[in-house]
This record gives sequence, structure tokens and C-alpha cells, in this order.
Amino acid sequence: MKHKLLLIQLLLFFVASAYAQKIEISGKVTESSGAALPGVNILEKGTFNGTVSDINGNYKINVSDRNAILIFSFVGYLTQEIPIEDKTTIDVVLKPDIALMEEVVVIGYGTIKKKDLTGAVAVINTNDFKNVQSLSIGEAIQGMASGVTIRSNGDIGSEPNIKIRGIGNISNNNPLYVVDGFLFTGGLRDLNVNDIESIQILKDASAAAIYGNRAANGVIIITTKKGQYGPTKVDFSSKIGFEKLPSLNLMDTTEFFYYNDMAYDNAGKPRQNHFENNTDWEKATLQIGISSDYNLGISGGTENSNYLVSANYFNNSGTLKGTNLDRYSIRVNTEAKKGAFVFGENIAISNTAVIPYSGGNPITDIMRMTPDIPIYNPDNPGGFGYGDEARARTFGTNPIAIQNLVNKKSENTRLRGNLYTEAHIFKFLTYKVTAGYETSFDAFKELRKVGNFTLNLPYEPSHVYENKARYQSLLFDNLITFNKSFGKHNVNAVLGSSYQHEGYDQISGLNHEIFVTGGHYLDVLNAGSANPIVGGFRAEIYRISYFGRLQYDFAGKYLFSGTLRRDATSQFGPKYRVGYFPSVSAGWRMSDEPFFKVPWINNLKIRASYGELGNSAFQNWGQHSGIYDYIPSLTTFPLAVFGTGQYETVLSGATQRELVNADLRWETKQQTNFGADFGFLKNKLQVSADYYISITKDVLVEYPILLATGNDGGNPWVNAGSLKNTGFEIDITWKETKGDFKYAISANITTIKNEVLDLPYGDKRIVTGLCLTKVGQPMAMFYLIKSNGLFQTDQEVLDHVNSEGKVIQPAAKPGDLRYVDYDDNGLISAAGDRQIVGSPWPKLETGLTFDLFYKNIDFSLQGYGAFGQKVYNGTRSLTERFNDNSNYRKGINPWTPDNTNTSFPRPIYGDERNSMGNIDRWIEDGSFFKIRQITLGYTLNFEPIKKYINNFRIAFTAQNPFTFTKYTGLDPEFNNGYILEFGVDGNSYPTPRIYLFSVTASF
Amino acid sequence: MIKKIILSAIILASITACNENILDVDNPNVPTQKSFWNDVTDAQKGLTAAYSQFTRVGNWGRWIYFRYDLTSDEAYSNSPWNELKDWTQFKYVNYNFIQGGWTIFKGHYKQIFEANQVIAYVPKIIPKNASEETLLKQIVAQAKFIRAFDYFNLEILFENLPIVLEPSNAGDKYPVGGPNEIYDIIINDLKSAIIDLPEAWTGVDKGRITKGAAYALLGKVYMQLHRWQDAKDAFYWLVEGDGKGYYGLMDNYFDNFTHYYENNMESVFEIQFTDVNQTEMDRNNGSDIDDDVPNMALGNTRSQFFAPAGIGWCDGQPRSWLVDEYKKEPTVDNHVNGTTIDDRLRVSIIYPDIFKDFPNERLFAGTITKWKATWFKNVFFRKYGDDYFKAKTDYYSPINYRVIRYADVLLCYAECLAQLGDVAGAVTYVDMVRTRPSTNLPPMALSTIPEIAASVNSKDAFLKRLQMERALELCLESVRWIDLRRWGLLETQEGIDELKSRDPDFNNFELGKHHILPLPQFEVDNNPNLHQNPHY
Repeated sequence: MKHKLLLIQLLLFFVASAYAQKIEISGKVTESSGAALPGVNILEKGTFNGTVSDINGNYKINVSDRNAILIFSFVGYLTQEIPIEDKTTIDVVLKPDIALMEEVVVIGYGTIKKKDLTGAVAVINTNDFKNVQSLSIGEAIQGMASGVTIRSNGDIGSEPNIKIRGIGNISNNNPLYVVDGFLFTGGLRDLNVNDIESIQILKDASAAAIYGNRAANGVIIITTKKGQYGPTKVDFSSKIGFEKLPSLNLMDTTEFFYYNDMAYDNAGKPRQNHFENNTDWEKATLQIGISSDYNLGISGGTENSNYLVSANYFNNSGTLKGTNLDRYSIRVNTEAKKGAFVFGENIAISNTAVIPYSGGNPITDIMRMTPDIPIYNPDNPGGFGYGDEARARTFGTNPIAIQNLVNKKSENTRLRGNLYTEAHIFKFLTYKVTAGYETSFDAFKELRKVGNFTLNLPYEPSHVYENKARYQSLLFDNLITFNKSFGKHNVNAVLGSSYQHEGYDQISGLNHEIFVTGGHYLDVLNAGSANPIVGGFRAEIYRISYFGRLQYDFAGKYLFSGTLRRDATSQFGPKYRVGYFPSVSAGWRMSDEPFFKVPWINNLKIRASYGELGNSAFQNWGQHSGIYDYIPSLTTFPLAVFGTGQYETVLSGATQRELVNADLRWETKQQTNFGADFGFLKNKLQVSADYYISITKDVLVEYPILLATGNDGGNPWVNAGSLKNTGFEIDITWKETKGDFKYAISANITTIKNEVLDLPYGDKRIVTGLCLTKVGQPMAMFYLIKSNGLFQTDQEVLDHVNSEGKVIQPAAKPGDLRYVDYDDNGLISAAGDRQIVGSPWPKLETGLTFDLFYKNIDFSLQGYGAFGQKVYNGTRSLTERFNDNSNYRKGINPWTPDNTNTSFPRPIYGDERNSMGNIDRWIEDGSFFKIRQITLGYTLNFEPIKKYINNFRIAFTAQNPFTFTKYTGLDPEFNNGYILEFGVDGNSYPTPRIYLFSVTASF
Repeated sequence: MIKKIILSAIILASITACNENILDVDNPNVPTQKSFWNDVTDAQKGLTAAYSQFTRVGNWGRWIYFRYDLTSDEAYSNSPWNELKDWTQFKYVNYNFIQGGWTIFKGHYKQIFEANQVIAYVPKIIPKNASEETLLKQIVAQAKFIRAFDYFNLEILFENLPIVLEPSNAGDKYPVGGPNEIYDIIINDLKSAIIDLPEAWTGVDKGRITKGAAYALLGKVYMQLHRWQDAKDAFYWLVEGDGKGYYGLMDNYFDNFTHYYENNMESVFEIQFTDVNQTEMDRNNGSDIDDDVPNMALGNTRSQFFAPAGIGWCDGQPRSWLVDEYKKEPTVDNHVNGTTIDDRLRVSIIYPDIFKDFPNERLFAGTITKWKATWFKNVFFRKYGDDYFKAKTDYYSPINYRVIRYADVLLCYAECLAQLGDVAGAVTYVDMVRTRPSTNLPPMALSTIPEIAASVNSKDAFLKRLQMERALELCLESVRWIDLRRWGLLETQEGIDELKSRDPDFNNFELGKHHILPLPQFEVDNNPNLHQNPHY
């Protein structure tokens, strides 16, 4: 609340400072067609006095005297200066600036006109961000570009997983982010989405190769906003969202007892002596999350300088009770010119504090608590209810208890920015030097109070654990840009070098038996009194790179671009640390040829490209991070005790426990792309189509190795095997303006086919949990025992025999699942009866957006769908297994002698017959189409306030309101971080539904 | 213009000037392989790490007791954790069940890897003097014992195994051996270890592996192979040979199961636990595999799992036939505990009549003095419990686990003698165990139970009686399953019928299948040389 007041005060201050002057000038700004131009900057020359035209192009400004000159400026139009003289009404027609009309795309270390682009680059319309509630850009760009798949983790404060053009490697799929020239791979949530001017995604190798060994997963280039030429502009926006998780649809006590008793009866075991409660664990644990986002921006500029200051407060209470996220951020971007020099800086400071869920997976916890268990139970240590051996036999964790007994908080303060100087030495030659710096202070704290949250938990003393860490990154870039035309030959060349140093160090402390006073735990390390432990570690990376690019075109018709980057990094051994990453691409704008005479095609360009990229799999700063993983090293943790009585001595040992591959090097992705861009019917219809083949070699994987190696502490990284992704991407956009109607529809379709070409260590296959990855097939295929209906009679059990007549499931009874004896040995077991039962990969992914403007009303809709994939439904495998107690999903229809027309087997408690972990019972079709966003906005056009406020807009958005799917899990769009088990939905946190109200205004 | 050109040249130079030596960064946090294994200190540290592994949950810190004690006919599980219980009842559905075979398999191979490092790298260290030379040899010998001991347990439990004798590489696919190959490896390691192991350790080294431990394990290995003469020869060193002077039976049986008399004269091989560092968060958070953390806890978690309901998890309970067997034969007189009931009963088992039979009995540091109504007719583990000094149990029991006791060696020696035809000689050693002061039973020949007295006259009757004598002396000490395999009781229907009469879990036992565990399916799936055990 405090924050809201502060913002309102700021607003009032700016409104009040608009003071009156002597001569009033008014008029209307239009474009040549006569259409009104809103948002045009109008400035009294040589002063800070200015205004902006309203929605109808009208403006009013008071000037001091008749000698004043008004400057009319608007992006994409030529600026006009008009002396006032004796006029009181000045109507202006702004002419489009042809040079600027051509859309410019930011690519690595430079920009290019979109029409000259030969690589695959997606440009995101950041205008749509104002409609969505997104902590980080990952969430904001969901569904906006073909070939870019984003899946949220859902839990509070987490960053979504972004994959560009499918699975490039097996473990690490995070793209490289370049914000105003600064490179990083994490900490994205600290970037305020409201500050973003443009986002471009470099999807193919020819575009991304200039980023060399870190570009294999794609590159996302973000440019933040700058102040515009003109008077001070104040932008304000406020959004409030309400978030709700989809219902887990679980049974109440009465229904639960009925089925639980049935499962015990079927097992021939005495029923449980149930508790007498009716707890709705879902209701007790979940809440409507409220998120709010307030943003205030102040910007402006003169001929020689511009500035932008923005402040943001973001809060989300989360959909789980007791969680919270708070973020404050401030950005200052300025730029100044002096002679041939440009000086600028971008700097952002943010502080993010997250109180997460203290347990593991809250969804699993809710499902595993049976509804008869009370939330509170004074008989238990700590006073919370949980499983009981005789009454409610479950090891489920009480989510309320864990959130109360364990309090976690992580906080991060980040400063990220850069300083740059540009020297325009010759007209055709620019030199730019950039110094980027980022530092981040991380603090994590955990307080464990005494008490239990699950059945059979050993006594744990209270403890406080804290860790503090500091991350630093320093980046120096030198860049020379050459840009000159020789007749019809246009040449643009870039040459540069880059040096980066990243370092991280952490210290931690743990202390036990925390002092309690007045029922309150003193949650500092000093308050502990037993078995303190300290820890700490550090890590650093150095990188040195040189790169260059040559772009050439002849008369804008024949386009060519080539890049080369040389990278050297400390992450690999001396033999493997240097790599070269080349790319070439070419394009031909056929529509510009004199012989091309197809009147309905306005633009036709064909493109082809090839490039190589690297990926060094660096993931985090902790142990096993990918930084020192080529160096065989020892652990110093082992302890052993010797001696008796007074001689008892604990000795410390050292041994190699984690195996490594000393020849680690980065993986290389080779990508070939063929594409074409079409513009039909005066460019109203634009189509672009791409086909790509991407082969990743020396794939870096934390690949499972044999238990007999004795390895421990995680699977070692290995460079082996290769993977192929092929696919089509088609983007179609239709834009039209008819009178007051203006609308655009665009759709994108992506297909991705992946195939494993080789596996590490010469393996032909690897089996992990529920999945098999095999050479010649897509990764992570479901590898399970097939079921084949239910036995209806004892005779059917006896009739189910192998080729030698052996009864395969002699223990089965009517109502049990019949399994396929794949190896025909008369026995069902994992050893011989698993087979491939489905693929987790969508055959087709599609995105759809629709925008409509009518007078003051705007409407937009966005959808995303994926089709043809199979999913292992972890939710059902938990709530329908019956061999272990949990709550059950409503609407199940188990087999009973009186209810035989069902595919749901007989529930049996404590018996694996129908609920083995490796059967196909819970495989489902995961196809879905999701309406991601619907927005309705209204721009207020009310005379009395127009004097002060321009572009006052209110809007209502529904995020994820509808999902069309047959999938019975919580959300068909889940995220499994372990790529070898890609299609397993392990009760993933579902995407919430969000209803959002927003207000934006500029002054 | 000239100025601009000079400027450009400077810029070009600045772009290319960067020294790549800064890229040589070593891991600052841990010693690296190339800087290690240089001297005696390194060798000692490598060996300490291998010892450390004994206390981990895949070894003697936790799960092995579920296989050895609960799967045998001495005990069973009534755990609320169904899968855990199923795995003690020959119901193996998920072969990858972490707390079943996986963790034991992995834990033992972790220790083998660590022992292999010592065995491979320590001989390359150049000793500075003769005493260092001896020390280095002793270090390798201890590592060889550790490796042999691991393979022995794995062989008993899984039978068909990957053979790993060198430090591992990540991509290794190991050859596989059955009993013949594995027992050869074990015997070679032990024979080689015996040469260099000292006969005894003193002071801060007490508790390390001795020559006697290696002889005893070698004897046990030969017994599994029914090589009775070889076995007898191995045990001879401890019982009648040069090592005899180091060993004897403690007067009080109970002293073998407390933290007060550790590494005593009855201890032949003992795993060292302590309750310092009650901190290891991973232990509590349920990670049963990766417990490589600083300040690791070194306690045994067994008592937390086996203590009676309401105090521990009660995941394992003894079968009540043991109580009946103890009560069958009265002691010579009542001077030990005021009754003529075998004192080993109250040391081993908590049972409903315990307070009646032993009126002075106190449980859980004196907090429990009468039978709790909620315990109904249950029977609970007491041996190796920490109830004698703690009111509640936890994950940090300091009590050393006596893997090979001298009493066990004597009974093994007796078994070898009898198998070789010397029943009279064998009886002497059984009698030593029976007449321990605190046990106070008469010599076999003087037993008031006619069958016992008669058994001294027949090899078969003696050997059958010896099975019970071993149960009474060694029950719930993780030797029973090994005994059952050696005696062949798991190989005939007759044997299974006998076991069924004591433990209904054997109703699920399938001959030719359940005498060994399924291998972790993950290992079978991903090592082309390894096949799942028969009929799984």
C-alpha cells in the first residue's frame, strides 16, 4: 500500500508542474492520407515546453511569444519546424520518413534493415506486453514467435524455460540474453518488462554465429527504451491481476472413505480406522494470488541528449498461501552527443525478494494428504495433522505445516549496466567501446522450527541456515563498424573483440538449537547453540573473443552476409578452449528484378544460410556447475572415526567421487536454413517460411553412467553423441485497415522432428526411469509395459498364456489389468516386457494472434497449441494408484463385479498388480490448444482531462482462460527439466489463470 | 586526417591485445587428481575416505540391515511404507526401488571405487623410509580387505556382478562374473591383505582392519564355498594359531552391543560409528544416495528404523520364535539376572513378557518400565538399540557394529571341524560360547534338553543344532541370511518349508529365484554385459 501512495504522490507532482503560459496555439496533426496522428511530440524550440497530440491528433500548447518555433516530431516521420508568427491554429501534415519506414532489426553488434535480412530473426511486438502480467520477458513473449517454445515452471519467482527451435542439446537449453550489449544467461527476472523497447530472437546459426560458443540455444537480444526527442514525458501504468490455479478435483471425505475402504476390502485387509474430518487440502493450501505491477517512466530529450528514468514495483502474493514475491527496480538510460562522440549508459538496479513454498511439490503434497486428516492436531509434535499408521496411512507432507515450520526467503540485489562511447571517426567508420558490469548479491535464509509435517519424521532440532553470495561480471567490447556504398554496392562490416570475466563466491552457515523467546525463534545464526557448520566456495570464468561480420548487397537485390567468431574460454582444458564459429548467408530479392512482374506479389525474397554455433553447458555456480568439470578432482568431505574412548578421533579423507571427462569441449551446432519471405496484395498478406536442418555434435550431456563405476554426486558431463532437429516454420500475417477498423491476424506453425544420431560412450541406447533414448529415434520415448484391457473372469486370467501355455498372470483376478508378455517368457517384468509405447514430441506446434482496433476500442487474442504428443500423467499415477494411500481424483470409475464396463482396474491397497510404476496405464494424448490471452482495451477521450493526460487507457485481460484438451492432468503444457524424461508430467505446477486490470497513462 | 588514422590504429591494437594466459584457471575449491596421491598423508586420506563409506546408508549405516536381517526368517517388516515392506517379503516389483537393492549396490560400488583408487595409486608413492614403506603396505592391505568385504556382501545379495578392479572411468562397461569369478577376486584380495596387515592396532588406530579380520573373512568366504579345510585353516590363526592371544569372549554378552566396550577382545571386525556431527541435513531430507556433504554425520541410523512403535519407525521386528527358542533351555542357575532365562534374550529382543521375565529390566534410559498397551503382542529389536542410554532414538547411534565377533568365529570354526568329521572338537568351541559367564548355559553334553545333549554324538544332529546355536548367539546381527545360503536352506523345498514354519514371508519364496535379489534394472538396461538375475 505504501508503494501505491508513493507513486500517486509522484504523479501529482508532475501534473502540478504543468504551468500556464501566455499564447495558446492549437491544431491537428495528420498524416498525408488525412488520418489523425496521435502521440506526436510538439516542443517549443529551445525550451522544455511541450505537449503531445491526442488520440484525434489534436493538440494545444501555450507559448511565451510570437517568435517561438514549434517542432513536430514522431517516430517514422520527418520532423517539421514551424514558426508561430501570428497564427493561433497550426494544422500540420507529417510526411513519412522513407528511410526510417523500413523496419530495422537489431542483430548482434549492429542493426540491419528487415528487408535485407538473410537469417532467421524473430521480432517481438513489445506493444503487447502492456496487456500481460509478466515478471520476466520469458512469460511476456510466450506464443509470440514461431519456433520459440516457452514453458513456465509455475512456482513463484521461477524463470521459465525457453527453447528455440527444439532441443538443441540434452541438458541445457537456456538461450543467451544480450541486453543493450551485455551478455548473460540467467537473472532475467530482474529485468523490468516495461523497460523493453524491442526484442529480437536470433533463431538460426547465420544470425547467431556472431555470439559463437554461447549461441547454440539461440540468442535473445533486448534493447531497453531510450528517451525521445521532445518535452518531458511521464508514463504511468498500473496493473492488478488475480491468479487462480486450475482445480485438482479431489474427493471429499465421504467419497474418499468409500473408495479407500473398497481398496482395503479388495486387498483383504482390515479397513482403516479413519479420522473424522473433512479437510479440503486444496482450499487450505491454495489462494487467489494477487499480483500488481506499477510502473512510472520519465523520459525526454533534446537534440544532443536524451534520458529515461523508470521505476517499477512488482508484487505477487502467489497462488499458494504464505508465498510472496516483491521486486523493486529502477533504470536510468541516458545518452549525449558531443561532436563526433556519443556517450551513453544504461543502468538498472533491482531488488527481488521471494518467499517460496518450503516443501517440495505442493501439488503432490495436496494430493497425498487424505481428506480425513485434520490440518491441526495437538497430539503431534508441532501441532499439525499428518498421516497415522492406523488411521490414515500416508507419508504425505502437510503443506500448511511445512510452510509454517520451515520459513525460507531468498533475496537478490542486482546492479546491471554499461557505459559506452561511440566515435564517428569518419562518416563511414564508427568505433564503439563498451564497458559492462553486473554485480548481484544473493542472500538465502531458512529457519526450521521444531515440529513434524509428515508421518515418521525423525526429530529434527531447529536450525537456521543462511548463505550469501556475490556474483560479478565484467565485459569489455571494442567494435569498429564500417558502412559505405560504392555505387550500387553497399558494404557494412563489423570487427570487434570482447573480454568477459565472471566470478561467484558464496559463504554459508548453519546453526542448530535456535533460541526461542516468547514462542518466537530468533532467526539469526548467533541464536543457535549446537553443531554449527560453515561452508564456502568460489568459481570464475574468463572469456576472450574476436569476431567480424561482412554484409554486402548489390542494389538491395543480392544480399550476402558472412561472420566469423573466435572464442577462447577458461571452461575447458588448454587443448579445447579455442573455437571458430563461421556463418554465411545469402538472399535474393526476386521482386526487385525487372523481369519479375507479378502484380499481386509485392515482395519476394529467398534466403539460404549456414552457420556453426557453440554451447558450453555452463549452468550455475554451485558444485558440478560445468565450470571445472573437465578437471578430475577429489572431495574432501569424507570422514571416518577410529580409536576407542579417549583415543576416538575423526579423520578427514579425500577421494575422487565424481568422475569427469577430461576431454570436455563445447558442443557444436551446425545449422542450415532455407527460407522465403512473401508480401502479397500490397503487403497486406505477409508470409515467411523456413525449413531448417540442425545437427548438434559433441552434445554436452550429464549422461547417466553405470552404478558400478562408483561415481557419486551427479552424472559427469560428457561430450558425445549427436542430435538432429529438422522442421518447418511458417509465419502468416494479414493486416488491413478499413475505415475505423484496423486489424491483424497472424498465425505461425512449427514442426520439429528430432533424431538421436549417436550417444555417449558408444552406447546404442540409454534407459532412464520411464523412457528410452535410442540411436535413430527421437529422444525420451516412453518405454513401458503395455496393458491390454481388464480381465473380466477367472477364465480370462487362465486364458492369458504365452506361446508355451504358461499362465502369465496367475495372481490376477477379474478387474485386474492384463499386460502384454512382450518377451513371451510367461512372466511380466521390467526385464523383458517394456516396449516403446509413445512419443512425447508434438507433431505440430502453432501460435495464433489476432488484433483489432475500432475507434477507441482495442481487442487482442493469442493462442498456442501443440498436437500429437503423448504425456505420462503423473497426477493420475498418484491419485489413481491405490496401492499407496492418497486422495483420489473425482469421477473415477473402478471395476467392481457390478460395474464391469470400465477401463479402470480394481483398486487394491498395498498391492502393485494394477499400479506398477512402469506400465502404460497413465499415458495420455497430450494435444492441446490454449487461449493464452484475451484483452479488451478502451482509450479514454475525455476533453477535461486531455489537457494533462494523453493516451489514458484501461484494459481487461484474461490470461490462460481456456484450454482445449483431452488431457486429464492439471496442465498439458508442463515443464520437465530433465530432457531424457521430457514427456513425464510429474505433477508439474500448472499455469494459473490470471485476470488482469490495467491502467496506463502518459502526461 | 593523420590524427584520425593514428586513432584508428590505436583502436585496432586495443582490440587485439589480450593475454590468453588468464584462461588457465584451476578449481580453487578442491584438490585435483594431478596434485594428489603423492605422499603418505595422501594415501592415508584416500584410505580414510574408503573407510568413511562403511557408515553410509547403502552400506552399514542403514539399508543393508533390511536385506540381511528382515529378509531372513529372524525378522520381518510391518512398515507402513508398502514397497519397503514388500522388499522384505520376496515381492520385488520395481527392480530400481532405491531403498531396496539400488542403494546397497551403488553404495558398495562407491566403496569399491575408493578402495580401487588406494590399491592403484598408493603403490606408486615412493616411501621416504622403512616405516613409511610399512605404512603404505598396510594402507593398501586395508583397502584390499575393504574391496573383498564389499564383493562378499554383493555376491551374497546379488550373485552376478560387474567386475571393477581398477579406478573407474565414466564410460566403462564392465565385464560380469558369477560366484566363481567373484569369490576368486575376494580370496586373492584377502590373501594379499593378510601378508601386510598388522596383527593389532593401538591408540588412535584401534578399530582398523587387522590380520585377524582378514583371516576371519577369508574363513567365512571358504565356508560359503563349502571348502571346509581351507576355511578351518583360515580361522585357525585366530582360534589356535599365532593370533589366539588377541581374542576372547567378553564375560558379559551385552558388552558387545554398547558403545562402552568397543573394539574389545571379542571384536574381530567392527564398523566404527560415532555421534559427533548430528547435522547432516541430507540424512533427514531423505536423500539416500548422495550424502557427500561437509561435516557428515557418522552415526548408525539402524536404531531409528527398528526401535519400537512410537519411539522409532518399527520398520523391522524380530519373529517371536526366537523368544520361544531362548526360553526352551534354562541356564545353569539364576545368578546372572535372577532367572534361569538366557540373558541373551533380553539383550536381543523386547517382547511382551520382558518385564515379567526380567523384573529389573528398564528400557529407554529408564523411561519405560512396563509394557505399553499400544505395543500389543509385538516383538521388537533391542540388539544394537540405544535404549540403554537414550530416552528417544535418532539417526546418530554411536554404537560400533561388530560385523565379525569372536563368538561367530568360534561357531564357524566348530562348523568347519564338524564338517571335516571332528564333532568332539567342534563341541568344545560351541561350549565356549554357551558357557560365557553371562550366558551361563551348560555345555552341550550336559544340557537338560535331551536333543541338545544327544547332538554331540552325530555330525548331522550336531550341525543341525549348531544352526540354532548360531541363531541364539548371533540373531539380528546380519549373519543369518549368509548362513541360510550356506546351509542350503534356500535351495530346497524342505529348507523353505522349515523357514516358512518360522516366517510366513517365505510363502512368497520361489526356489531358484528369490535366494538372490534382482539387480537394479537401470544397471541391466545400460550395461550390455549384464543380464537380469534368473526368473526376474
